[in-house]
Amino acid sequence: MTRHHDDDREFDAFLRGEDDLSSLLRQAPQPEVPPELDARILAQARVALARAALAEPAHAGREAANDPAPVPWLMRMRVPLGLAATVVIGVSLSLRWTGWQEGTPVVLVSDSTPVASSSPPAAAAKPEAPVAAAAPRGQHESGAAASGSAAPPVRARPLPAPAPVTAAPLEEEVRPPPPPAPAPMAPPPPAPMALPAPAPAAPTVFYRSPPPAPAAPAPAPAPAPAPQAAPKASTHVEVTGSRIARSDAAGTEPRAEQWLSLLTELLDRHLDDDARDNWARFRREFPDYPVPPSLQARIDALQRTP
Amino acid sequence: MSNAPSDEALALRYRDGDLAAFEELYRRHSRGLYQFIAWRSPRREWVDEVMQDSWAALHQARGRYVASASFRTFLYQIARNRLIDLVRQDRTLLESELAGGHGLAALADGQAQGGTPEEALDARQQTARLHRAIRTLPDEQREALVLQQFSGLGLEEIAVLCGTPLETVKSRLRYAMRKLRTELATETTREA
Repeated sequence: MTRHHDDDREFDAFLRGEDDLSSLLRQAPQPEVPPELDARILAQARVALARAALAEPAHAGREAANDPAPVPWLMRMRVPLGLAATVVIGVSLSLRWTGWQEGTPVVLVSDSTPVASSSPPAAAAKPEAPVAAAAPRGQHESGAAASGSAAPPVRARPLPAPAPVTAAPLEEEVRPPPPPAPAPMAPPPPAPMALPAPAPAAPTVFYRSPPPAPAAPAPAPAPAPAPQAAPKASTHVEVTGSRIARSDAAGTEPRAEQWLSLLTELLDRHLDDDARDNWARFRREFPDYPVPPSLQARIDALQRTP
Repeated sequence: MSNAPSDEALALRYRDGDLAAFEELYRRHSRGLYQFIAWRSPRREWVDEVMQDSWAALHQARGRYVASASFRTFLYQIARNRLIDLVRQDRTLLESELAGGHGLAALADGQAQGGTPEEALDARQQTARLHRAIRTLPDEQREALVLQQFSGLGLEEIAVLCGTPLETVKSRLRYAMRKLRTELATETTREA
């Protein structure tokens, strides 16, 4: 019994490291981790943790070694990112297109021949206004031959190089002055924009769906949105690809002439609803402006048709 | 009273990517683990490899760690399994090699010199006797001894690690203690 108790005490002392044998064991030289192995293991952990931090916690959601490996972040986000990109592109395109207000005629000539659009609301004087206003009148009338009507003041200034649609932001409004001897509106080179151009030699008229006939055309997209307060002030908006140039025009007459030429164009293209709508708005703005008899006859005929 | 975080708290931080937590865990346990591997490895050249593999495997398995388990048991289990795999794969191992700790003989020769040459010689001989006595222990007893005396694991941890009841661990350690005493006494008597 005593021997058993002695054995227990001896064993307890051994476990606690208080007897001679355990101190002998603990004093004995033991293998030590080589410093280079230390460094290797720590570096390995550092790299592994950094890699895991980059690719999301690799252990997240893995309860067992044979669980499927987590899908990489980029793979998981592929669909949401694609949808987000589509939405962003769609919204930016629609914003751009909504700038060309319903009912506001937009004449797209090409990227190298600026598109002119009439927009009744006046904007504050722009720095580039003098440039546009200083353009010789002959230039404005150069597109008349192409449209086949009486001298429409379509502003067409050939640019040295076409600007891609998304190349320049709207704020980039610095435009070179028109060349001293502009070429007449020759058939422009194919426009890079993927827009229909039925008559390459003539200005292409784009309209959105038949407008709800507002009292005045809505302001065109411009760096500074034009307020509705001054509908009579004349403002020209040139749209060339992504560039929009607005400038105060010389006066009311060129605008009326331009509008008439566009009406002619609409009639030529049998866009009856648009022509009807534009005619109504034209008359509201220019109640007494003389209209060429041939055009008046066509409009009268149009008004008679349902 | 120490405010140092527990192994388990560090392990959870490490699981979440905290490198400093890993470094602290390594500082605390690398030496004990290395000694365990060195005493258990049949071949000296395996020790470093198993050591490195064990920490790498810990990194892979850290997501499975739960705070209810002892981190040290978790770590040693990885190394122990790795050693068992190596032994199973290598069919050329001799029975004598399986006793492990063969590379430790040099430790006695390289033991720090102290005092007179006679004292240094005595120390080397004592270490050599001790190593021989440990190698004569049965595998389970030697493992329990190394874990408890060299690596500092508690009895419960050893029981979990080896998958045996606590009383069995105690019994193994008791037998190991007795046998070591006997072996050392016998060798001392023989040399005398």
